[in-house]
Amino acid sequence: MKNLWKLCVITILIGLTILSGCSGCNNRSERLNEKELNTDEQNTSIIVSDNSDRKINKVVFFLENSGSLKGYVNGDTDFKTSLTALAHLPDFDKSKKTFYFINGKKENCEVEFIGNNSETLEKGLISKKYNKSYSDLTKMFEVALDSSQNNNISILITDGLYDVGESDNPKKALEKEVEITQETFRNKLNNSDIETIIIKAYSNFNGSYCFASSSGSQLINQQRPYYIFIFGNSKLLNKLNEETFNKKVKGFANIARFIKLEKKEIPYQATNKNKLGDFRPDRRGLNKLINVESDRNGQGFQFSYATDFSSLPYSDLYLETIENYSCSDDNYEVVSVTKIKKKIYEITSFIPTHLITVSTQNSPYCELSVSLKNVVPIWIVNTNSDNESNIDNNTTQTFGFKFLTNAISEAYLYMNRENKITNFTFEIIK
Amino acid sequence: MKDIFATIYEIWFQLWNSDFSLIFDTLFDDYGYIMFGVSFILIPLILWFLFYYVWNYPYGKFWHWLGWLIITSLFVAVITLVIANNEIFISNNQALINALDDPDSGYKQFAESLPLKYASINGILSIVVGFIYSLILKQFSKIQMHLPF
Amino acid sequence: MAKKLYIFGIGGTGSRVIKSLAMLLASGCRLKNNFETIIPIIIDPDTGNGDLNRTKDILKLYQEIRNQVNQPDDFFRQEIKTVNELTNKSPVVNSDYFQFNLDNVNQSTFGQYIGFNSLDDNYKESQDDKNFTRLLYSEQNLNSNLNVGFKGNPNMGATVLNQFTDSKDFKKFGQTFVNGDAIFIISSIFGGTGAAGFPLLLKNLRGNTNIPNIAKIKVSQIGGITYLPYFALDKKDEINSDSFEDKAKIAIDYYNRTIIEQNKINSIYFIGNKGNTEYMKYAVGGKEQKNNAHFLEMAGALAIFDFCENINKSTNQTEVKEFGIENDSETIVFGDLNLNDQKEIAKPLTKYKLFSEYLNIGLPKALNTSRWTKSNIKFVKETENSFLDKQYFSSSEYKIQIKAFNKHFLEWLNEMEDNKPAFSPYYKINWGDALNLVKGEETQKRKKSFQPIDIENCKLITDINYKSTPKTIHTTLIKLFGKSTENVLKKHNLLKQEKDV
Repeated sequence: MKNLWKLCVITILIGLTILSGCSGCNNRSERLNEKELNTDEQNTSIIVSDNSDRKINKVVFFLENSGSLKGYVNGDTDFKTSLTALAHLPDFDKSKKTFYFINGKKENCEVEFIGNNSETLEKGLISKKYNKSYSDLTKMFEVALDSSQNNNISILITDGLYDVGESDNPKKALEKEVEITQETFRNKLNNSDIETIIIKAYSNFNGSYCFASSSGSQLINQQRPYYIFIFGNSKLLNKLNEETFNKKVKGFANIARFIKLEKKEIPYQATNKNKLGDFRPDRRGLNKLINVESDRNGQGFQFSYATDFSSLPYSDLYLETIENYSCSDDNYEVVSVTKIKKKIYEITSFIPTHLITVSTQNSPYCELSVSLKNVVPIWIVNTNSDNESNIDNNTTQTFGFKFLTNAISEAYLYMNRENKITNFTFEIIK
Repeated sequence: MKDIFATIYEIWFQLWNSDFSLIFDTLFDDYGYIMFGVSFILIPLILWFLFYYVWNYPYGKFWHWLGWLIITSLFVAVITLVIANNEIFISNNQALINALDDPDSGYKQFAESLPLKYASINGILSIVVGFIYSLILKQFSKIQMHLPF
Repeated sequence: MAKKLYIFGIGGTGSRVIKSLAMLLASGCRLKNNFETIIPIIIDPDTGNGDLNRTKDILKLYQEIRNQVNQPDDFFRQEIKTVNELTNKSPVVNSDYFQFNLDNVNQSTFGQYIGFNSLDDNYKESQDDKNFTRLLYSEQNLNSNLNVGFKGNPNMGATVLNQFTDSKDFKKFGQTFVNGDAIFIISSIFGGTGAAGFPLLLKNLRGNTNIPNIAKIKVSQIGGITYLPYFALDKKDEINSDSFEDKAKIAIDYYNRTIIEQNKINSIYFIGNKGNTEYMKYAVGGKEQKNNAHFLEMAGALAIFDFCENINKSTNQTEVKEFGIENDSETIVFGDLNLNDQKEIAKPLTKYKLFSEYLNIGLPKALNTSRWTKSNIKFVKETENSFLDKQYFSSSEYKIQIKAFNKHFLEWLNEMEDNKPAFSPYYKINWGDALNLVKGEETQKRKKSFQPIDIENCKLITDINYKSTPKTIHTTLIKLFGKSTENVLKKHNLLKQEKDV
């Protein structure tokens, strides 16, 4: 027995040695920190937008001053308030500003200088200045697009009406205008990375509504939509977010962006939130789900992944609309997209903003790709009106609006070839 | 190696919990699993080496062997308990530290049960491993070859 | 070339010295100069003699054990054979063949032996042989039963023993003798058989042409040891121990004239002890004559070793040697012996003592517990299992042979310890202090028990040289303990001389 005790003492000494070795294991920060920095590409590629480098040099405002906009400047309207606020946007504080009136037809398009500062804008928001008879949207776009080169952005405020004159077939005339507009945009997009923001806002309109599809006008005193088109390099325009416009543009209704898409990889990682069934993330690639099993109660298989949308310029509304997502495997569908409110500790390589949940009732095993699509917002479709017959009851729609936006969206679609903003890929195996 | 040990604890013994995956990822990345594995593999090897080649008491009986098996198991369990405590509660992973500090996360409560579980598992594994070592080491032992049988 | 040593042990003393020799040989002592085989020949008419039978029993056990050991190289390494085995090449062990028979001594009186009654008593015709005979022998002599020896009367012995060189046994001895073989004669000078037998035997060996191979025998090396009185009897009767010294003086004078001065013997050893002697229980031969072992008998056995060691140095002149110890002590330990004698016997005796005490005291703790006693170890090669399991230690061979022999051995040591002067180099031991057995050599190591032996046994048990077979079942035990006791002796410094080496 004495020998056994001796052995025990030796054992305890060995144990103490190992323990002291263990405490030394804590001093592995250098190695681990280094490791943390070299994490899996698939999982943690953080796209750093280099927005911070670009600054807006000049903001050029183009105010369409055709007669159809006179009603917006009659009295104290939201139109005036919004334009003033727009001119004083904090994002533009350090930039030069220039204000112009714009109107006219094709080669006779007139650009009238108003002034170089916001105070001079007020001079432009008076009825008598809105006296021009014709407006050529395509030409206005062209002028505005031209002014958004380099680090300049241009803002066109318009009622969005394509003036097709006294055409027998306004629809045909519109389609023709669309082709021209499209070409204009394509030409600009070919040479530069231009983003287009369309803001729809409402204001009271007290005056003559000039018909775009026929001659004549009608006196109305009601809410009507107007549109703010912003053109500029996407790196500049991505800094302008929906919230800003929501606050500053009185009567703000909707916003849409058209971006020349470049391949965007944003970080994402599968989580155990909203889980149905079971799975484990493969440590070598956290978006490879292994040991996947459907829910035993027959509720299928469901999982969520967190992602960081902070580098995307899209609104939360856009991002949280499940119809804007598609799954490569028909068995799967996106069932919810929510903003993350509570910290997810398991995600250490990026700060997630949204949680996207996908689900299937069938076999879950596949290589799944979930895409955020670049779609035309529904409000644009809803804003369109094909005729102007009941204008005094129509406070939200604009004649031929879809043609206008189609021209723009198809120009961008042509340039983008692919309709996806970003992809999230998962390998889901047994 | 990490994968093998992770499989043992997470899958065979089903310790994995997806709600607290940060703990297990920390153990995986920070070599906690390796330490556990070393504990139940290496310590019994040393102890059984001592038993078969250093302990020269020529009247060893089965209960001596059994007692040593239990001592080994307890020893491994204690060492594992200490390692697990260190690796979980004094880790280098700031995210885990934050999670443990957050009472709403549930991490602390869950984590507190883990060291004992790992210790128990390692205790059991050390018995199995110890038995295997016995069968191998006894072949070359001069004095304790007859143990356990 | 392997040589043989024929040892004639005459009378009770001869038996007892041969017994001591057997014990030393069992302990691992061996003759030098290529004397591979010892052939003990006991000459004693007293066939019921206790000492004789005990010696024969011991020799028989020695052979039986040795035959069951494959190539012994430590304990029992010296071969002992009978003349009968040499001539018949028979493996059968029969202890009777250690003794040469004397014809017509059983159930005869001396008078009957010499045919006294048939002698003439016609003094008128000058054929009065009877009365002449009465001049030489007393009435008591004539009526003495010969089957208990000659009761200290060499005159009787000389007559009776004269016939044995014509015996069949003696002729067989001659037939087996080859060049290089040697002879050693053990006798006492104060007894009846030895005193008469020694010179008689020597005379025949040097000149009896009836003996086969006499030409080789008469030129061979012959040594002898003669015991002077070394004990007394507790009673005076037919045999009076007071007369021992006087008889010795007469005999020595005779030896001197007829043997030593005539260089009939190559080496003659004298040994005896005066004063400080034990009083043996009086017995006139037979089984009652069973004297306790005496230190001088073991010392006498040393003469045999000395004789063989120096056999090449002998000249044509008789060398006379006398035994002595360094310290005249009532209780002799190893340290009291001459250094050469210490080297000769201390280690082997201690090893065998340890061995035999272990089997008595130490084995119960280890049996079926220690690895070296396990024959059913699982998951190992079959060769790892031990032959020395419970079954072996319960076997009749172990009990009847090993255990019995060891009992004699310990008895022999105990008797020497109880005798005077006492030979007592060992303490009484128990399991816990077994290694403190040698007096004056207390071990400093912590482990004093039998445990180190068990440890050594565990380490050595699988040595291939120790493998027993069904025909050599004691191989493992004998060889294992030969080595393990050796190792323990060394590691625990049980003997000073081992340290010095």
